[in-house]
Amino acid sequence: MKKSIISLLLVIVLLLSACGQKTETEEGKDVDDILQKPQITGDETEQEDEAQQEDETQQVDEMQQENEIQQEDEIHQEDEGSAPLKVGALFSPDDTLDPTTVTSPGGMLLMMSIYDSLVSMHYDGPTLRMAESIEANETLDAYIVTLKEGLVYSDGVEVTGQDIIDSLQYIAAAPHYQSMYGNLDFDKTTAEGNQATLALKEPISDFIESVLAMWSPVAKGGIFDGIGAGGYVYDKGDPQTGYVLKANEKYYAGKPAIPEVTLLNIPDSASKARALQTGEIDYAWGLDAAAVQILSQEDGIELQEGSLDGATALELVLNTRVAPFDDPEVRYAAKLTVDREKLVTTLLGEYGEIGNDMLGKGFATYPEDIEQIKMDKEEAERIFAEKGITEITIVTSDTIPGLTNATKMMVQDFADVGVNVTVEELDPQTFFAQMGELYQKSAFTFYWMNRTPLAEFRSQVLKDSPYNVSGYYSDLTEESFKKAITTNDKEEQATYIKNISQDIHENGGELIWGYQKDISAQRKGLKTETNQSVPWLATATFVPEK
Amino acid sequence: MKNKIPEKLKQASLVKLVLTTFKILFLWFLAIFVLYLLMEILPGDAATNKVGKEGPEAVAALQQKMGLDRPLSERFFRWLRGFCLGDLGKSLLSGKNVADIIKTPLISSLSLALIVFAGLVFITIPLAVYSGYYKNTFSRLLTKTAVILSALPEFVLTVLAIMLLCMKLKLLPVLSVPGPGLTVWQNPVSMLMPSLCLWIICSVSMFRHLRVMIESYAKSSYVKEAFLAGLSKNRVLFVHLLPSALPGIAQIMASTVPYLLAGSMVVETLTSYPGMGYTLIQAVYSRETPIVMGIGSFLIVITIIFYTLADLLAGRSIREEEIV
Repeated sequence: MKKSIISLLLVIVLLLSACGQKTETEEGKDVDDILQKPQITGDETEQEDEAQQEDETQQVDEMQQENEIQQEDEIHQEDEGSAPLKVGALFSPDDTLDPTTVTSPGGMLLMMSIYDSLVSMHYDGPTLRMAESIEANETLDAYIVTLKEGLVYSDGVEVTGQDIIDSLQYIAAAPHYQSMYGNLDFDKTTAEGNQATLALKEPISDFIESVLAMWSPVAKGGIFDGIGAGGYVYDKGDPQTGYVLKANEKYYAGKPAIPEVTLLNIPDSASKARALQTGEIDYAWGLDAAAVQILSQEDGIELQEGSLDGATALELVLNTRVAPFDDPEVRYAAKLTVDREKLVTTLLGEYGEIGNDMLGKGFATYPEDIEQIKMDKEEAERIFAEKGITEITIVTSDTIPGLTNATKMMVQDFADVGVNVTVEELDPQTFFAQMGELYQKSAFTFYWMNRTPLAEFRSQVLKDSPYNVSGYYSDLTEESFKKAITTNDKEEQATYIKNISQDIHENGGELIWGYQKDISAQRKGLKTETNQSVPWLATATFVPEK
Repeated sequence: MKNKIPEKLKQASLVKLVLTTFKILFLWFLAIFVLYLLMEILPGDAATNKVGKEGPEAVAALQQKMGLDRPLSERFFRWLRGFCLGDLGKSLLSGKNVADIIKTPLISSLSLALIVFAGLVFITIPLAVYSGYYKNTFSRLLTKTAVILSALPEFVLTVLAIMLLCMKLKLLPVLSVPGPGLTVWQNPVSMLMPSLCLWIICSVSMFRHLRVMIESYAKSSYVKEAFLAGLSKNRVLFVHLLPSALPGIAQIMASTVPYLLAGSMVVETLTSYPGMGYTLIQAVYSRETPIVMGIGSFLIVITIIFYTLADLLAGRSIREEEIV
């Protein structure tokens, strides 16, 4: 009985394999048919003739070759188009589609992709994006923004001048944007068609570079609900699981080359690097030195050094309100004491640049010709001894990772010149809440996002600047600044900027020892430009290398 | 007479149930108040976090806008009222509904906890019991492995697991993200790596506790007497030893629940898993009291329930022992 069952099973198996072979053969024929269909029509009746068959076989071979070449060409053509892109970045759990609430780098990338900007900032000056033109009046207290012809949102509705006003008004009401847009006078601002006239409370010549180019998103009626005129359209997702963005077919510069972008929340820098290694993402945005080390020897991955226009300026604030740094000579001695090269090499590696106590490094108007302050411990020791300075206090906090380590390294530098440093460490979460107390301390660590010199001067070096943390100002800086922002002559403006920079370089209370650039890594084949280190995905292309 | 006794028992059970519920509610209230207080004691708030760099005037204006200038009791009871009405409030920084913010992390963490919990019950406990009760090469190997693994910090263990399983063997993805807009159940692979890491981390500490506990029970006089009475080793284990050890096991299991739900921040961060640990820590950093309270109140409820269940189990076992 068992034998008969086994024999039956064997027969079934043999039959099935025979059928399988037949099917394979038929399938093979089908494939050939598909390949030959355009060329073999009308010749099927002559297939019995062997000679003809040989000819046909030859023809088929040739056609197959042609088809293969054609297919290769098609694949190549497909390669010319960009592939979907997966980006790893850091998001905050409460990020939304409203730019006034976004606090994370990933959130900013999302915002810029959806809403775009009227103007963007490049190290050599502003670049018009949604705006066709921006013109200032003669008195520099009004700017006429004209939108690109036919500019529409992703849902097809036209973008209007009134939308610009509504959007900027909404943004300006947000507490952390108030200082940036505070000079806009919305009572006098008007709109007509695709034009908006932005009135200012006082004349400013650098309104485009210092305000609009920082970021000026536009949404319908100023309601930022995810519909913008940017290169991408929000499809689905949330900050925890990531977002999917689809290319905006109505984008003013044409549909973006990359058809779909997936943004994933990857908080850990090393995890981003590992995901890039395994091919789970194509672009890791915002990496630390350890992650860079992981990726430095990987084939097929490019490390992208961020530009200075999106860098972070790291500094020691020498508080001019209290002794001993109320004395310009003591401030100068401190500037000669710190070994900037060692700090940058140790803490920032090859992705840092040495600072020269001036703001806006990397931008076109930054006065590069002012001599770099060099360490001179002998001279510093002499000044400190002459002034009888033997003790100072530095308050530090890792508001940006590395500031506490930098302070610890400075302690040795100051010890070398006979000054004992007492370090007080503060919780980064409460550091800014204690600015009143900090202004009573001799020195403290700080950081700035690098912006144009004029934008930095406005917020930091004037008597009424909201962020004048060192407390230093002078008649020269005040007068030069007023002249710089009210002149239309770029050369004249550059001279004033240089005067201010020279003054704060020599007498100011900000010891800017380094600039930390953002580092990203990407799969080879991705080409993208950045705006203050945020990649513009709308103009990017991605053809991954095989 | 026969009908009256069960009625009395019913009433007694009802009273006990009411008392237990009241106890849970009271403990929950106390715990959430302490949590609110702790958030208040922390230096800085959401306003200083957002506009601290812009000076005290900007901070004061934002505090007023956020309602942080109101007295503590007023803010706490306003939140409590909203919670009781099913409204968890809104994020101070983004204005987004807290329920929307914590929905994804909650589902992710609960799912993860469920899987790890099952792993602990069906794999770790049997192994620990085996290792504590039977003395052979396998049990010694298990003990040594647990000692070695417990010496590894959470961070190192997770990175090693990622390097081995994701980078070297390529069995699992590095990122444990379900994908945009998806829940972890729509992409269950995303749960594998974090649940494996968490299971190992929880197992090693639990294994050591349980093994020692079972070992001490195995040396107790009633177990020896059971052997002397001629009972088989398996019968002694399942009929005498394990029922006595059950309350202790339940307590240990209950203590792992809060960790599983919100203490897994390291694993979540390294695997990019969208769980509650990461969300909670971020909320504490940015002083987002409504989000902390939303997650915290839920965690407190779960913890109290698990501890109460463990206590009830222990009480029942003691009563059974008394009856025996």
